[in-house]
Amino acid sequence: MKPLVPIVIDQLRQQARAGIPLSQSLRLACSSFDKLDVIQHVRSAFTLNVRQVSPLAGWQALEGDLSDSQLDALLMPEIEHNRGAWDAGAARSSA
Amino acid sequence: MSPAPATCDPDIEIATATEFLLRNKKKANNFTWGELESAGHLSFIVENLPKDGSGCPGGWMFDAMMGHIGAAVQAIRGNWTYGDNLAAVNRLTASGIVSLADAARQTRTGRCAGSWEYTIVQVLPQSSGTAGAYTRVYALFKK
Repeated sequence: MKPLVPIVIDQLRQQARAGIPLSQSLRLACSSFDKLDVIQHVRSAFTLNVRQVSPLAGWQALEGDLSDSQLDALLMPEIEHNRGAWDAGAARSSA
Repeated sequence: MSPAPATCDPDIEIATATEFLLRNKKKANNFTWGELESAGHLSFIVENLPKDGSGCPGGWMFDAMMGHIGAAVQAIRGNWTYGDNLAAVNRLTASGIVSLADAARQTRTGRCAGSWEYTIVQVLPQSSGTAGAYTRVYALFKK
């Protein structure tokens, strides 16, 4: 497996904290990645399981069918659901 | 053993008790990634793009994944929000004659699950849409 790029993981988390839609973040952070690399980075950034991250494989920007808004509608709730696991600051403030 | 050595050079990158990732070194968007969740439900992604007949076939990669992880699988889960399985479900249910569960059984994933004797279909309530126009279908295939 190719190594993950920590700065990309950080960037995805920062942008999620700022409320930027995932599709927009990925266009900025992962434009040179292939599909599996994008999935691996999103999965790692937001501690998603394969079921949660699976819609990403169907995103138009990765040769799939889903529009940006459809992708965001499927993924953003999962990212928010896992916030306690990936966003240490949020976990502390809600403790 | 690879089914098509000229275009399918499989590399198993993860093979643990709960996870399996096989990637074709000769085709970028050709891989399967499966993960077993706590209830023994196997969720997975299978990709082979572009659809040009090259690469490691999806069914072959599914079998490789099941060969590794299958003994612990209580149910195979379909999570269809795009792609061939969702399109097949909508095509089959559009007439109103075929039920969603029967349509799910006839999808590519349904047939793969059936080949491993996971033939009982349970459509999950999180599915949304109407016959011929489903937008999300979640199904479990059990023995």
